[in-house]
Amino acid sequence: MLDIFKAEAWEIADAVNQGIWNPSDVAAKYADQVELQYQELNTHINWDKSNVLNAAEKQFDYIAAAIKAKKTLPLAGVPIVIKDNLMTKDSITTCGSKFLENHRAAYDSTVIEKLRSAGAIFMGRSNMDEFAMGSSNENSAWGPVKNPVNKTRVPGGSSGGSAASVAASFAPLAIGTDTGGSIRQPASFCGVVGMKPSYGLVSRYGLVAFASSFDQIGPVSKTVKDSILLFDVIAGHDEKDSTSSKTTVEPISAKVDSWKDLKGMKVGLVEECFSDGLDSEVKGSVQQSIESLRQCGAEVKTVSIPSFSYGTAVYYILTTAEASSNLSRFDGVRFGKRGTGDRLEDLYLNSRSNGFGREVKQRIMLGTYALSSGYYDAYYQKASRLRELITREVESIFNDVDLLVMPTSPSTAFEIGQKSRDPMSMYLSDIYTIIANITKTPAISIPCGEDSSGLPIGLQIMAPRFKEETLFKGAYLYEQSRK
Amino acid sequence: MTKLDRETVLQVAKLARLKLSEDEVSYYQSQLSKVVDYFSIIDNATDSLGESWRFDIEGNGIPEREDTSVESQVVERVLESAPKTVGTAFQVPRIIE
Repeated sequence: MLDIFKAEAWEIADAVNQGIWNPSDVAAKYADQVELQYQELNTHINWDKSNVLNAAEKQFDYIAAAIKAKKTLPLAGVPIVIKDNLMTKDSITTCGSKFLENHRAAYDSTVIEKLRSAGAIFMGRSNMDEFAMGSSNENSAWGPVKNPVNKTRVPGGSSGGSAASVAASFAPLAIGTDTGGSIRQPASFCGVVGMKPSYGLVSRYGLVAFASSFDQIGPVSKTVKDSILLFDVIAGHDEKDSTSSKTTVEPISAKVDSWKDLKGMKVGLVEECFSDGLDSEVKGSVQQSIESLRQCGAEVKTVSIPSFSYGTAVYYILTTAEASSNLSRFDGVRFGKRGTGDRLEDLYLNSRSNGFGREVKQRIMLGTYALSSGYYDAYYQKASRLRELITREVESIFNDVDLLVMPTSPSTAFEIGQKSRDPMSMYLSDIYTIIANITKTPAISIPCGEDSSGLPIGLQIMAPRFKEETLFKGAYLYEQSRK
Repeated sequence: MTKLDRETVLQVAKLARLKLSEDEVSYYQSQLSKVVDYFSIIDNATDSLGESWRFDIEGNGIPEREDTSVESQVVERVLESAPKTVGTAFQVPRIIE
């Protein structure tokens, strides 16, 4: 008999679809697990066990009807934690901000709709950096999340609650969002799998926007196979998102068992990712992983992204610029917290100044500065052009190799509070992950070892845009090689 | 190091519709200076794109779809989220004297 907390999501779905497990039992056991431990880790916002189980009732009926009709649901009865920036009808969606403390979503985001159709059971809303701005989950208005592996350490961010929830077995799956590494870096810090799809493959409809040309929704899981299962459910064109790609997305799950080796595949080792600033234990572990990829049959060669060093500046200029525009809608008029004021201008000022947290104000101001008269050409315009240059460089490398490999983060999980006053030290923890967001390519972080303190290390793999199948194949076979 | 002066911080806050306390002004002056200083790294980059290159999020222009109406029935729900409403409108302080 499978242990419910060790079972992979696909195993739970199989057991529920076959009528072996009752979805309400699965949900109750996971809800008990969250209830018992969430406060210690601070993984959830507005957790209410009875609400979660009551809301799931409708899904239990839906699953029962599907079983009766002999219809297989890909996520039948699978508990999943949802990052608190995805609109979920009737749920409070705070985005980690006091501004939206009482904001009840009026509609379902497309991803939530797809998860409902797939038979998933929502296991609460995960804590996150306010408006997804952060790399440590210390910027949440609900306080920092702790890393389940070592509670003195951050879980990474901004999807820290999602990664920590999966690592703590609060659910086999979680939804995260990734603007510059916000799925992959916390996955790396917590020892789980986190994947950012190609830009445009997963609809952003109903996601609270941070930086619209970078944001993507993606899976957090314990295994690559589960990551594929969830990706298959959430990917696909959506006319409600004007940047949604019309590229056909073939299901990948059915192909996993046919993957045997990486023969004929070329893997590029990005040399800029192995220089200064990389922790020696992370470097050693990632280098060992590359050896494993070679043993799986891949040909490994060193490649270079000449403009790599500009990536972090390009990313922070463009994302803060987009954020300053996106967050202008938070004015206290249509939703969220309203400040006092007899004049409209005072209403705006008081609503925004009291509603936003420290990091969010910082990024809004950085973006406003980069877009303001006299600085636009030097910052926004130049960064947009460099984004294109980096994209061309990466595309050119992909003419020669199938995958790129690098560490997910330059270090393992750092101490809570260690970097919170030093913006550049914090921002540079995204240095390896932001390249995939800049270039709109898919990337995944897979556990590849531990440092001497027992903290997880993540290997990052990147593929050309819309080549998710190649990405998952490399990740899956690497993961298997560690068993 | 690039150091943003106090006036620039206040001007940016004004543009961003943020009211800063005295402590916040000094805090952001220091924080923003550090980040903007880091941004200057892009001055070293060689821009080999032609003059004619222009940024376009998807490269194919804005996608269009059929102009058809779809029932959403969210007006009441949206109004429920608003801090203050009158009928089916959002209420704001009077802006015409």
